[in-house]
Amino acid sequence: MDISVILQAFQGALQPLMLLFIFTGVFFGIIAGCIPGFTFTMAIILAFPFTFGMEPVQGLALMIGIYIGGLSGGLISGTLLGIPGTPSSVVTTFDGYPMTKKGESARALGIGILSSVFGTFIGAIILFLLGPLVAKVSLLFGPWEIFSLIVFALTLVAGLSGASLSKGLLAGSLGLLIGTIGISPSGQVRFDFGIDQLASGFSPIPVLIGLFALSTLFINIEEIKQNMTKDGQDISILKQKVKIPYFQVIKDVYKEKWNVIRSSVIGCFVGCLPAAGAESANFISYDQAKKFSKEKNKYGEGHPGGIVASESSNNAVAGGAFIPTITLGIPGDVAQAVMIGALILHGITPGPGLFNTQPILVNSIYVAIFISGIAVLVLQTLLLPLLTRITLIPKTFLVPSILFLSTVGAFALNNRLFDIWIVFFFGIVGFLLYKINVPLSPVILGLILGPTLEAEMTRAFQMNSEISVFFTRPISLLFLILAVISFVVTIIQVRKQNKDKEQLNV
Amino acid sequence: MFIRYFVSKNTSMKRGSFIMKKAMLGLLMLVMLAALAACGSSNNATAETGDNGETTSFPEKSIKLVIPYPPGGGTDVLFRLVAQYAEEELGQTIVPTNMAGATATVGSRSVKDADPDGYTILGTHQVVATAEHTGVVDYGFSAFDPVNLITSTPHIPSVSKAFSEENGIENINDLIEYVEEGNKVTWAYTVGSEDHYTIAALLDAAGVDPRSLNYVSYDGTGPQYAAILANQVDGMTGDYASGKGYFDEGTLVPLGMVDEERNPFLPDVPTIIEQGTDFAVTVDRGILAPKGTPEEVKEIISDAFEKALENPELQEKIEELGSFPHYMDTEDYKTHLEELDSKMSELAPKMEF
Repeated sequence: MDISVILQAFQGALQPLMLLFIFTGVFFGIIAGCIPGFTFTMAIILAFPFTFGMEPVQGLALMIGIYIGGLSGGLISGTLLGIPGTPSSVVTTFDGYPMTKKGESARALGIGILSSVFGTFIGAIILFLLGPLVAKVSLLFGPWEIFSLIVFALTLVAGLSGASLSKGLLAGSLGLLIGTIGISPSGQVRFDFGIDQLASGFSPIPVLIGLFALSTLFINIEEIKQNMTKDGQDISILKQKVKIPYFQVIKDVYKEKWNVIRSSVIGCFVGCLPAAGAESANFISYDQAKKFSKEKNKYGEGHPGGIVASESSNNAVAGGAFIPTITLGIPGDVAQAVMIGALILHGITPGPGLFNTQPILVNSIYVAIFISGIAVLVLQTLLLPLLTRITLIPKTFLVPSILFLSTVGAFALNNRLFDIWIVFFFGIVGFLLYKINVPLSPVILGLILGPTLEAEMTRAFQMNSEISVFFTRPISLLFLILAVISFVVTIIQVRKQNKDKEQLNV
Repeated sequence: MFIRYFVSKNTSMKRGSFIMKKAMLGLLMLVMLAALAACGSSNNATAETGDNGETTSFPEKSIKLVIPYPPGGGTDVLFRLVAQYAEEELGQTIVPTNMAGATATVGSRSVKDADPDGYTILGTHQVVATAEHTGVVDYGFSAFDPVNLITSTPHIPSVSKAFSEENGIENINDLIEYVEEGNKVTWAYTVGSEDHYTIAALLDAAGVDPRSLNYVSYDGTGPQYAAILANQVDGMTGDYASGKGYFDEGTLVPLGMVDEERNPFLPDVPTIIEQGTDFAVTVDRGILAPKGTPEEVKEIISDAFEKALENPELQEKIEELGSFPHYMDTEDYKTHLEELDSKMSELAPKMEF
């Protein structure tokens, strides 16, 4: 590694214009991330035309800013309202929202922000130091390994998202079932019920908005009908003093330092696997954090460790996703693909040679990720007093506003009016599920992971029709064993919990 | 509406932290603006229905160019680039709109059903026909009015370095022989996509059953390269733009150029025709309009693209992307598509469609 190249990258990145691009990017990324339906991918696409007129490094810096900001921004609405801003912040709601309910929203947000900053840093460090090595390891992951990894992630979904295992499983299966609608991996259209629009299946974002945001609106309507809201109290929103426990937040995160590192490493590694995605990383990190914690039973009721696990792994994914992009020239997700597209338009071909042909550019990526992490910290800390007040706005105004923005976002994602109907439909589904106490997050995870699971399985069988390969490849076998263990452990835990409850009742 | 709420609230609250209020309002406005921008960029072209009588003044507003693929891919990048130059000739903006999904039929369907006024057009390639022959949709090229051809991109069937060294496969004939001997070759493809057609048609032209390869399906080219690097598959149908880095590095061995002539960027790779198999089909990206679009409108669009493609700066940029500027006017493009479609429908039964 040539030191002068790194110094040049730093020199380039620390110019006022570059810093401006990164901070602008992070700011819009945070906004896009915190509104369900506005994803950072969309923000990056919107920024895409602007990069035409920039230097490649500047364009990339802007996009990286959006990317990092967006990954972190999802925690805001997830923590404050229980409506995840992005699919990858679903897990953050598990502990973030209960903390808000307890009146600790500022603390929860602070923990989330700090964890996502550390996650970003650790991800970037792994990318910088171990990138090529991790890339080599990731190539060992064929369709069999990814299939087994997702099976493992799915077994965690049911157990983690609620008190009732069977209801969690039910929700997960529902998500998997919805995921089968559309074009199968072998190219046939199925379950479209003769509706042409269904041929492309359900994309997760409209479903997420419907399930979480619209159903919240329905629940609110019901609550309002039951007890008419007291008028007048809302005027005090901006006057009310909000105390932000900065010291407490630092203490919380310090207490969870191993959790931060573990979750970031998991996030970074899963992020670099093609197709596995940030969503599975979050669940695995959360599960690991819970297993290692001394206060297992407090997870899900507002434990700082839950937020730490989710947010640090969520942001470490960024460093991970850049590994295949830089070392192999293969974009890890759509956001990365757009960034590569911008580079191609500037005549830079990403690929295995990128490191040798554009060393300064590659090092600028590392630097930009780092600076974005700092920007996330600065901007979100500054916004914190404002953000915590969001919870003080009466939901009668807040939820419809969010819903309006989200629905626009759902439409703009693929420019299809039909997606708004999907939002509406899943709003009703979400409300009904809420009424019968079925957790919503497994539905979304099932929908996201199901199609990948099936595509990988099809690929595995197209390569080798033997089912035994899943068990003879060591990494695949490892994940399958972990899946079985996690399932058995969950059943035992749930039984024990139920027994405890019975004893209490008797 | 809720902006008004906040505004009135703002005035009613005389005391209290003013800056905070302003900041909150500003933030809200910003978000609203972003929302409107996001929806405006995709809405403006469909808002009004054009009047067929007034075509002489076409275009009076921006034109929506639907790209049926996600942003950042080869098709997206090419169309965005060309659209930038064509809108200067048109005097109106062209708004690239990504509508991805369902083997590119989400986008094609929306254009097929759009008003035939020239304000909604589709930028696509052979996938329109493959989607029909794979049975994803029941319409193909004939459901559209062709406008003009823009670029041609030659495919490059390639194998991994390991596979090439192990079995001594350096050109397309080596591969054909190897397959004819009954050996198993695992080939990455995207089911029902244009690369699927190219490899199948090539093998068919060489007298080999296209079904003799062991196909593994991937969503797009990126994951195919990953599978090659990991030695999970033996070969794939790539192109210069996306494969350059791998060709340079030697991890991907090009077997031949599927084109009439050699590619100046890869002068050492002979064409398939040079190697004795009479086959040359490029990926042809062009503009389609909804059926019934007035002739004059199509001509105006087509002329704009023709002039844009004469610009040497654009030509150079297209070539950097591994494609070649290839303009064809409405009539020629129509004949070209008809020929292509009949060839594809002949081959369809042999492609496990």
